Order: sequence, then C-alpha cells, then structure tokens
Amino acid sequence: MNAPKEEILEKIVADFTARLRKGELPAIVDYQKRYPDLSGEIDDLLASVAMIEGLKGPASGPSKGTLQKDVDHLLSLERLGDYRIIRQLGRGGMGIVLEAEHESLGRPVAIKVLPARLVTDEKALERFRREARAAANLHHTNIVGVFGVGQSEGYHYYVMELVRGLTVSQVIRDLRGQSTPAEPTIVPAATRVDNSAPDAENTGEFTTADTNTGGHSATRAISGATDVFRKSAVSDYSNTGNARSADNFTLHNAKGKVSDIKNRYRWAASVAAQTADAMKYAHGLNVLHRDIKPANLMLDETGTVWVTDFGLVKNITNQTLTATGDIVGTPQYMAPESFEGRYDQRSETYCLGLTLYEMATLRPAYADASTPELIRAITSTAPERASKVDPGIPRDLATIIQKAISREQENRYQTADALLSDLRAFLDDRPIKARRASTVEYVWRWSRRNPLVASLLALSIVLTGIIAIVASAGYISTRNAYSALNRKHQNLIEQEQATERARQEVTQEFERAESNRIRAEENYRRAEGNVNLMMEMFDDMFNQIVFRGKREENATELEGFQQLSAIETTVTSRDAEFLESMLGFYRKFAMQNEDNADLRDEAVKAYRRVAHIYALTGEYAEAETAYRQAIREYAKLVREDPGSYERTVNLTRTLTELGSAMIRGGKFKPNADKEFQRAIDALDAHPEIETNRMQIEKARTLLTWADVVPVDITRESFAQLEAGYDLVPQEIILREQARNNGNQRPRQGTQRQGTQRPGTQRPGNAQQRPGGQRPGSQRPGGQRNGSTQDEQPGQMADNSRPFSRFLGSGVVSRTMRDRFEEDRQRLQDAIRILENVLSTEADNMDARFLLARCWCSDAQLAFSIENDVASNRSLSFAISDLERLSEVNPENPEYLFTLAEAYSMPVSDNADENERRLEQARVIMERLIEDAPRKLEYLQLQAQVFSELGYMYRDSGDFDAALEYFKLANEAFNTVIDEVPALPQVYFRRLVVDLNYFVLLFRENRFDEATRMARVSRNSLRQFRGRNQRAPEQLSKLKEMYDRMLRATNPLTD
Amino acid sequence: MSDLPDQQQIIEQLTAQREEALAEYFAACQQRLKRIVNFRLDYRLGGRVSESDVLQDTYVRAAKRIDSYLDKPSMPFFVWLRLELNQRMIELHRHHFGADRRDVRREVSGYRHDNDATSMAIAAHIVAGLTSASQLIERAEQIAAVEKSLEQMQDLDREVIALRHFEELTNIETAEVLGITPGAASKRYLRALKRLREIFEFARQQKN
Repeated sequence: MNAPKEEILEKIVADFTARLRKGELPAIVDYQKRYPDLSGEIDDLLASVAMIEGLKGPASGPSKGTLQKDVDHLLSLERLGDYRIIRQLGRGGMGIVLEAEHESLGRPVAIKVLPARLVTDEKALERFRREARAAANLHHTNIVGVFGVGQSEGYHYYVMELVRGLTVSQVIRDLRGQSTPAEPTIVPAATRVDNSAPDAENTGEFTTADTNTGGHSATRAISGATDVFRKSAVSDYSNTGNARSADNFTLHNAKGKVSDIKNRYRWAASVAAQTADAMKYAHGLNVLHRDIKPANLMLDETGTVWVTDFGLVKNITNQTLTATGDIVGTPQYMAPESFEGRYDQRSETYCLGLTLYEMATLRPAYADASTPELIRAITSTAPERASKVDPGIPRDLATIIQKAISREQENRYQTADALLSDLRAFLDDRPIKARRASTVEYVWRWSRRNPLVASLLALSIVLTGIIAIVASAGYISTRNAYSALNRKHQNLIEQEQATERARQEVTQEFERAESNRIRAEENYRRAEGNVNLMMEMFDDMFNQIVFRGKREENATELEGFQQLSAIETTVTSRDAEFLESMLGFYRKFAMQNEDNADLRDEAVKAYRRVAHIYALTGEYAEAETAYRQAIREYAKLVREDPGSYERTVNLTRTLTELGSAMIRGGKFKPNADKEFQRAIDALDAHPEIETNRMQIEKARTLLTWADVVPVDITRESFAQLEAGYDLVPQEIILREQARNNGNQRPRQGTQRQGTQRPGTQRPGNAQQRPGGQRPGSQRPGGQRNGSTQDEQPGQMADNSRPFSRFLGSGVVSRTMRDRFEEDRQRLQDAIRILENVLSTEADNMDARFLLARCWCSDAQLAFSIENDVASNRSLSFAISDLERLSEVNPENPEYLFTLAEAYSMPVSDNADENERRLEQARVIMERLIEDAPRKLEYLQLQAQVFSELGYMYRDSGDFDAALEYFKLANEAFNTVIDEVPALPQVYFRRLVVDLNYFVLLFRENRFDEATRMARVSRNSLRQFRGRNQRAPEQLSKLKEMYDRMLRATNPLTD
Repeated sequence: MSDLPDQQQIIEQLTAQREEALAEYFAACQQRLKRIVNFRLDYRLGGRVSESDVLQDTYVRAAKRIDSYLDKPSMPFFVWLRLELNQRMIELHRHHFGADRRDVRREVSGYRHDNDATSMAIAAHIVAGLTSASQLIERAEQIAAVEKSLEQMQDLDREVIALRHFEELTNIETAEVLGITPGAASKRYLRALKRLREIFEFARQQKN
C-alpha cells in the first residue's frame, strides 16, 4: 500500500498547488475528509505548500480572484451611495477606480474603492477618514481634489475629481515603445541657438494655458502618450511667451526624433517640477503623499500634472498590512529608509527623484522584480547612474536626479522646494545648486578622509582652465570677426558695387557671426558665472579650514583673521597640505586676472588668500611677499575710488595682517610697526574717517597692533629654558645632585612630607608664599634671585608657572617693558575711540566687543609688567562688558571664547572669586568644544584653563583635584600638538604644565605615572617642526628637560 | 500546469517551423521562466538587469541553439529552455561579479546544483514573506538563520522544493532536472515538505 499512498499524496499536493496558483482558496479539511487515513500527513504537506506558495508574492496570490469578484459586483451595482457608476477606469493592488457621476450635482467624479481585505478594523477606518479629511483640504493646481469619503454596500471609498488623461507610467511605457535610447546627436546650429536663447519671461511656473492647442473639448480623451508628451512640451514652450521658440518646436516635431529626445528631458523636468510644487504645498500643510510614483501622476491633455491619492491609500494599507506582515503592491518606488519605518519629506523627494529618473531615462531606477528581490536591491544597492543609462541626458538634470536619489537622507534635497528650485533652474538654463553643493562637500569630505592633494591639484587645474575661457581669445576673436564683417557689410551696402549674390552671402555670414556673437557672449556670461561660483566654492572651503565652519556673514565682503590674543589662529598639518594645494589655484587666478577689469577685486583677494595661507602654515617670508602684492593692488584700487569703504578697509586689514605676520615671523618690530602705521594713516586719509564704522575700524587696527604676541617673547622663554633657571623643579635638581654624589635618595622620608594633606603643615608651601600672597599673581620673577641651584631642599618648584599669555613671564627685559607700555598706549587710544563711538551709538555690539577685548589685552599687558592694580581693574572692566554681551547674545562663540579667556586669568584678590571664574571658564570651553570639537583655538584655551585649575587646586592643597586637572591639561596640549606640530609655544606651555604635574606626581610617590607622562610628552617632541631657525636648539632644550625628568624617576621605578 | 503541448508535438513543430514555433512555445512558458529568473537571479543585480532582459537574452540564445537541441532532444523542451536560461544567468552573474565563484552568491542551479545558493534563495523568500516592512532591517540576520536551518535539509530535498515551488516545475520535469526517477523525485518532494514545515515552525518561534 506504500506506493499508492505516495501517489495519492503527490496528486493531492499537485491539485492543491494548482488551485492555489489559480487564485482559489482550497480548504485543507476537504482533502482530509476525502482521505481520513492520511489526515495528519495531508495537514503537514498542504500547510507547507500553502506557506511556500504564499511567499511568492501577490502575483499568484488569491487576491486576483477576489478582486475580480469585487469588480464584477461593483459594476453590477450601478450605483454607490449618491453616485451613479459609469464604468471601471482601472484597478490595482490598492483598489478599483470607477468613473461615476454625482447624481444630484451632475458632476463627473472618480471613485476609488478600497479592497475589502484592507479595511479590517475600526482603527484603520478611522485613520482612513482622518487622512481623507486632510487630503480634502489640499487645493492645488496639481493635486487631484478629494471630495470626501463614503461607505456603502459594504465598500469603503473616496471620491475625487475626475481627471481625463494618462498616468505618467503609461506615458513612459508608450515612449519606451517608440524610442531608442538617446544618443548624443549633433543638433543643427540654428536649433541650438534657439534653444539656448535666454527666456527672460520664463518664470518657472507651469500654468496650463495652451495657446497652440486651444479648441479641444475639455472631456476629449487623449489618444496616446506621445500626444500628451508633445502637448506638455508645447505648453512648456508657450509659457515662455516666446513665439519663435514655439514655432521652431513645431518644426522640430516634423523633423523627428532628435528634438523629441531633447524635449523629453525638459518634459520630465517640467512634470517633476509641477509635482514638486504640489509636494511643497502639501508638506507645508504637513501632509505627506507617501506613494509618489509614475502611476500616481496623471497628465491631462494640456500636459498639466495631477498628483493623485495624496496621503490616502498607502497610509491605510501600511497600517493594516504591517499587522499581517505583507507589503501590498510593489516596493519599486520606496525609499530605503521606509523599510526601517522612517518616512519624511526627504523620502518623498527621493521617490520623486526615482520618478524623474524613469521619465528621463525611460527605465525604472529599480527594475521590477519580486518584492523580496526589490527590497534587497533597494536597501543594498544604488541604482545605476541616470547618465550611464542614458548618456544623452543633460548633465544638470542628471545631477539633480543623482542628488534627489542619494541613499543617505542627509545628502538629498532636504525639501521639495529645494528640488523645485533646481528643476526650475534647469528649465531656465540657469546653473543649479546641486552641483556646487555636492562638489564642495565632495572635495571637503575627500580632503577630510585623506588629503588627496594630488587630486585637488588636478581640480584646481581644471578650474583654472575655466578661467582661461573667460579671458579667452575665442570670445575676443569672434568679436573682432564680427566687427570686421560688420564693416564689410556696411561697405557693400554703401558702395552698392557687389552683386546681389555676394551681398546675400555676406549677409548670411553676418547673421551667422551675429548668432555666434550672441553665443559667445552667453558663454562668457556663463563662464563668468562659473568663476564666481568656483571662487565662492573655494572660499567656502577656505573658511571651513580657517574658521572650522561657517562664519557669520559680514554685511560687507570684509574679512581678515582676527588675532585672538595669545592663542593663535592656526591650522592643522592636514589642513596645511590642503591649503597648499589651494595656493596654486589662487596664485594662478590672481596672475591671470590681475588686468581683468571685471575680476580685479577677486584677483587681489586671491593674493591675500595666498598670503593668508602662507601665514597660517608658518611660511612668513612667502606670506610677506604675497601680502605686499595684495597691498600694492588694493592701494591702486583705493586710489581709483578713495571713498570706497570696502577697498580702504581691505587695504588696512591686509596691512595689519602683514604686520602681524612679520612680527610672528620674527621680523624686527619697528619694521612691522611701519605697516601698522600705514594702516592707521590710510584710515585717517579716508574722507569719512569721522564716521563710526571707520572709527571702529581704526580701533580694531590699534587693538590688533597691540595684541600680536612678539616672537621675542617665545625667544625669551626659551632663553630661560636655556639658562635653566626657574623652570627646573627643585625635586629634579636634588635628585640629580644626589645621583652625582653616588648617593641614592631614600624612597621615604622627606618626600613623604610633601604628600601631606592640606590642614597639616606644608613647610615648602609656606615658605613659597610669604605674606599670604594670592595665588594668581605668583610670578617666577619674584623668586628669581633665590632659585639658584643651591637652594635649600624641600622647596616646591611651582615657581615655574607662567602667566597664560606670555610664556615664562616675569622675566621681562627692559625693551620688552617699553614695548608693552607702547602697546598699552595704543590700547588706551583704541579704548577712547570706542567709548566715543558708544556714546553716540550705545547698542553697537562690534564696538562693545572690541572694547572688551581692549580691556582684556590691557589686563594681560599690565600683568606682564607687574602692574597688578591696573591689570585687575582692566580685567574687571573686560569681564563685566563680556558678561553683558553674552547675556544679550548667548550663542555667540566669539563672545563666549573671549569671556572664557578673561575668566581664565587669575588676577583676582579673592580666591573664591578666582575659583568661580576658572570654573566658569571650564564650563564655557566645554560647551564651545562640544560645538566645534576640532577648533584649535578652543583646544588651546581649554588646556590653559585646565592648567590654571591645576595650579589653583594644588595651591589650595587639594592634590587629587590638581593632579586630575594637570592630567587633563597635559592631554589637551597633546591633542593640540597632534593636530599642529608646528607651534613651538604650545610645546613650551605643555612643558611648564608637565613640570608641575611631574613634581606633584613625584611628591605623591606616583613614579610610574610620572615616568609615563614624561615619556609620552618626550616622544611627541618628534613631531616638533619649528618654522624658525632656532627650532633645533629649542627642540634639544625641550628634550633635555624631559630627559631630566625621566632620569629623576628612573631609579625609583626600577 | 504546463501550457505546452506534449513533447512529441513540440519536436515536430519545432522541426517544421523553427523560429515561429520556438517563439510560440517560449511565450507559452514565459511566466514560468520568469519565476525562475525571479528566484535565481542574484538580488544584487536587481537594479541593473530586469527579468524581461534575461528572458529576451534567453530567447536569443535558444534560437541560436535550437538546431543542436533538435539533433538530439534528450530532455523535455521546457527543461532544455530552463537550462539555456540558467546558462544565461551564469553569464550575467559572471559578468557582474567577476569570475570569482565565491563571489557569486547564488550560482545558478543547472544539473550540478549549488546548494548553498538554493538555501539562501529560499531563506530570503521565507524571511521576506514573514517580515513586515518595519522589521526588514533585521532581515539579513534572519536570512542567515533560516539559511542555516535549511542547510540541515539534504541537498536534494532542498533543491526539489525550489524546483517544484519556486520554479514551478512538474514532478516529471523535476526528476529530469535532477537526473532521478519520477518516483524518487516525488518521494523526496513529500519528505522535503514535511521537513520544511518543521523549519517554518522553528523560524516562527525564533521570531517571537
């Protein structure tokens, strides 16, 4: 009986399978009833079969049968509620569409009936009604209006405007049938001229007025897709109001496909633009369509787009179907993130992008396949580039598509409006935004990942090539040819000597030349536009590097680097390489366009950029040369227009930049002073010097002048280092002495004493701070005489602490002192000017902020020459102004940064106040760094704040806290050094912190940590690349200090 | 199930009319061929190659080789078409993924079938069918899990399911493709169905 049983089962399974595939729903029980013996097996087998067959998607599912039944039933009804059913218009997985007439109003409508299986519960229905209400509120030229929802005879449906026409998917199918893939074809010159003629009147609106096809009956059905396409293209043309173009277009039609293909792209863009316009409107009302695809876009006979099913069907189906674990219809037009349950405006622009892709290439971005295949394709691969599928597609259009269908939401058009404006730009032959943004981004990301300097160079060469076009002989020679012909033409007419035929020839030539001229001029305009675009792009990148992000736009085109006190604006070594590759571009640009009247301002700016880049990368000599070139040109520009505010200010700012670069490059100060003085003189020469904005500019110049940290200061610091006094902690010296005496210092004993907690006596400390001197004002200079090598043991070596601005201050030479006094005098001038300005214009934020910065600088200078009273006073002015400013404008990072800097100067008499300020400074810096984690100025100031906190806690005896902060300071400096290995001051500042950190660790017997820290710091010296000539000496001094530290702990860590 | 006339008649018609008859028969079983493409074509080609492209290519290929088939019609016509289709898909996969066999996730099952590929294809269908839209992100893991359980099935059992249900072959055709007797093919098939039910249940439990 074995064999027959299997045969029976095979038959049962085959029968069951066949019936399933036909769309029936055979019941397993029926088979079981007929073969009760096999009941168990039948259940197992058929359940499996049902599941497998169920997996294969809707094509073979049972839905077909039931849907057909629905249709038959509906059509037999003749009426649904108030509506008389006329005929079936279409059907899909989402329902059946009927043409009907509203009986009482006599209005023709379309009714979409939802398949019964979709409306399963009250919740889904409620949602459906809610969405329908939202959709009913949409009134837009390109949206099919919804009249309402209804329920009758067990069906749920909604009623909408009846649009006669074709869906875009039908049009695409039709076009695909008749057209071969577009080939790049040579279009005759005459047509090209017409097509590129600017349409001044094209507003980018796509109204439906159609003068050429008037007289059609409104209800006439459209015969075919080509017709729609042609008509919409015509209406697009007639919108331009350019009768000649429209005529021409008809001519193209007669000629055939070449122009059809070209117009198809415009048609596609126009359809997408109308759709985007509808989406923009709906998004404004918080309604998402949720299912943008060719099948949901209709074209009426005027070529107007009608978006159907706004927000309706997909919503309800999603709701019900997520529950049953099924996706209705094809996911062919779903955005990747939809599969993760995310859907927003950007998903919608993506879907429109896919639709545009298909209209332009006549191929779906994702070929139709089974649901699981499609899901995998959409979530794992990008569609082939549109330009690859169809090489004839205009580049701008391809760029728009590519951006719209980016896989990452962030890279897409963020709104329908953004997509719309690019589409309109494309239709108007204006440059689109997408390309520019993506190039900047692309290049930027590129250079972030790894500096592909070579590629960037290549890019700048290409861009330089574009500039060459601007000034190219092509344009000029065409122009010459034209005027020569013009003369010839003139002569011919005057003399009337030529034959009729010759004249005609020349006239023809003349006309050709005329059209060439128009084209050349247009190219020129375009190229010029490109140059501006490209300059903007480079400037963007430049600003990104220099300012780590977008700066607030100044009202004028002014700029310049503002020196933020001791902390230099600087760049990382990676950025430096990148900037160097930009140099080539700016240099070429400046050279080629020096004489180009239209681009002179840009050219000078380019010289200034070159100089700026050199200054940022430490090439001060080259910077000077370039600055001088820029200054020469600016001076010329000022002479031509002495009253120009922009030109004068650009000149004076460039002069101050030059002065700063010279000082930083180690130039003799009086020489640099000359440049600053020139800047002041140039400002004074301006006819409007008495105006507030010129006065502010003057104050700014004075402040910058006083603010530059002379390289000599760094030199003096290193001189101290060289001399070895003040900096070497006693602990180290003692150990060295002990070692020299062959005499190991005991591990316990005197050192232990140093670790005593606060409250107990700390002799070293008491000795250190006679008369209860306040911590902040401690100055190594005060102890200079005492700290020789035979100092008594046990003295703590915190005398090495510098003030935050000037390294190793306190050892200020006579000349330095004089210079500081001069600088303070300049600050006083600036302060007077600014107070004057504020007396007439109290709410001038610029003036207020500059004033605060002047006080801040003065506090630092006064401190350096040990005028504590003046320093404290200035600092309190600065702080109160800055606090006020940041209250008014709490998000301004510049205010906050300067405030933090002021807080970090421990000049207060009051230890509590001091602590409060440092704490504030720490909090501010944390916040700023959170917003701009890579901004080097911030990192440097943070390191300073940490070290000040370290000193403060150490001095108050809280060693744990002190060690914590020293550690943070050390790490922060390390970060800065990793990013910019070329700033010797940073190494020096770190050394000072490290020494203090080291001594404290040493005293706490934490030798391992001390060794590790010193070793890490010492190793990072390898990156030291001082740009000045003393670099090797400085390096060896720095090294020696760390070596001494390491030697001091060496026997103890063995 | 088969819309084709019997083998005898097919051979006669093909011999008499060649192209014309081929076109007619090809159209008759186009749906089934489409199923096979759908099932076997690597999903990574989804965006680049459409089903109809593959079918068209297959038709061209079949038209070129119809003479040699008629010289020695050793297998049923549909099985032969399927073979040509598979050859075309192998070419496509090679073209897109290079010659590296390991890279071709789903080597097309010809007479020598690649069982891992079949497991993967079935698993993908099962998971996709069971998963709601919002859960699809986890699909890769689930595919892997189901794939693993499918690996517990014997190679032939698994293949038999794929042929009968995803390619919609008849028992006779299945036997022909696998090179076994129809009786053995049927036995395998019934056994595989039972086993599959267990796997389904397992996958369902895993999900919950």
